[in-house]
Amino acid sequence: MRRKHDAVFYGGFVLPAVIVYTLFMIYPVAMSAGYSLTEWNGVTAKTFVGLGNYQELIADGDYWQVVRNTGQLIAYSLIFQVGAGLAIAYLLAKVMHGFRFFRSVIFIPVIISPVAIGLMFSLFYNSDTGPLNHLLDSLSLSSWKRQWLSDPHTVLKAVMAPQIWQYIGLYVVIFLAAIQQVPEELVESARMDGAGPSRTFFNVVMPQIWDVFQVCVILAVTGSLKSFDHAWVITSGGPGNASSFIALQMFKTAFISNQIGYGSAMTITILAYAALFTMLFKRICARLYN
Amino acid sequence: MRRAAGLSRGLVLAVFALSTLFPFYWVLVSSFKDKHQIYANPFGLPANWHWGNYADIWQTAHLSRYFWNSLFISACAVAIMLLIGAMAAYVLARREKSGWLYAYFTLGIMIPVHAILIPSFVLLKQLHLLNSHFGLILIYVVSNLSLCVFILHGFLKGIPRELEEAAAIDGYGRVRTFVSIVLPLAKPGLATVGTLGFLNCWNEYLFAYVLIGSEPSKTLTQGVMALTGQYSTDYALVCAGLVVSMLPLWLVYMLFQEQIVKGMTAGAVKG
Repeated sequence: MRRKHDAVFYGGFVLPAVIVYTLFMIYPVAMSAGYSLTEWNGVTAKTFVGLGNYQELIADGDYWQVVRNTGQLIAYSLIFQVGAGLAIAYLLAKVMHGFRFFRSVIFIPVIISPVAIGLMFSLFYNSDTGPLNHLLDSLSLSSWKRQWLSDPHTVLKAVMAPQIWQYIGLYVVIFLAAIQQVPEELVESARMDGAGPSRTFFNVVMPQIWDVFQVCVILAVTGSLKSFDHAWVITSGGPGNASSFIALQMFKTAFISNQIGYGSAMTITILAYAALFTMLFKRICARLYN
Repeated sequence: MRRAAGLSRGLVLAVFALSTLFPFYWVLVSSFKDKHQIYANPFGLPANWHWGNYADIWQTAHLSRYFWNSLFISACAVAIMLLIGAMAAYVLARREKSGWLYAYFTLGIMIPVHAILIPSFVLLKQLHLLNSHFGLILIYVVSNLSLCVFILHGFLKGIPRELEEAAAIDGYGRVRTFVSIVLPLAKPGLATVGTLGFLNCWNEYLFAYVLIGSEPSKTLTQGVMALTGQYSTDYALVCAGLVVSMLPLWLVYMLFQEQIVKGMTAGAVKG
């Protein structure tokens, strides 16, 4: 009797979430996969083209340019968000005074909307009236001035900088929590055995926070794969595709060029890259550990 | 030796902290200047404090309308998400053999939300929910539901069953037990997930942009984005607009810092 009541209760309680989740998350993902196999402008009838969109993608120079841009973003994220975040967290973990203050301050950019951060930086970058070139002038570094956002050589880095800057704090805070969980005794005994700071770090601390490190790497890579807001608000991906990323290209293809099928194929590639990377990375890490 | 290390460490951290704060300082200070002062004296305090910039941006640029839209959408999305998320997490936490269901829900954490951008547009169009707050709210609920269930599951598992059993003996039904006993105990978890969800909704741009096109319904992020158009040459107004969009976040951060940090690091760090 109780069993049956339980089943009804459990079923009823979980149902709203299951319905909403299936209808608006799982089903749409399947829809995306389906669209990627068609040619469709969103209005008239769909045409089934099998893997035709994917074949077109392979030959698409614009697509590979944005993939390369995204790849650069991933690389910089790993170095300056995960790497620098870890380094700063390690420094911060040893600080006695003002610890909470530092932690609070560093995290502030993380909670702001990417659109606002992007807009803020686009003001900085203005070649005539922006404070960046102004600052370079006042530091007698005028030769370093650029047309940050219109010069194809600088625009990608200019657009990547705010994204990297914004989320360093997130990684600092995550690593900080992880480092603080490392048992004091381990660090102490390593020091007593004569280990210098880098030995202590690599041989004692890193193994302890290894799981967290892996999560952060995955977070940085999948986050970079999703990058849209910053580039959109600063340059809309221009000039050309110089500062565009895969998600931006997908958006333009689907919603500006009205190529739903082709855009969906791009979306699937984003999914595929994320899934592939996660699986491969976890496998490599498992092997490294042994 | 120790001292020098400590000092240089402090210096590095101080430089880093300053570089984090400086852009916000510049925006804040510029919002009170006029555009000539911003160019002539970018880093100092304003000579005259132009509060008018804020009045302009609030009224003329319609930021007030976008502000309330964002508030409404975010609040509703969080409320719905917490309710159905807590209910689902409760079932997962209490029922044996819910492995499959748990895996099903947490799968969503791995799905990049862009994967449902195009289909969301098509689906909502078919349901006549484009340009409606409700449509966007549904999408926001779903985007955050997986993480919500994941985090709340952890919290609810930690609540001892004895309390619920005692309530059952006292004649409480399952639903009443959930509402009056379990939910109040889960408040820290709800606060964490709720704050995080609110931030995600408030700061979200792409889905709002794609799913809401009609002026009166737009969100604050769209309003900020619009500052790149019409007012883009008047830096003072743009900065005022930026401050307006960031101020609620700074406030929420000051009040709920612990919850936000916990929410964002949940799943990354156990414990």
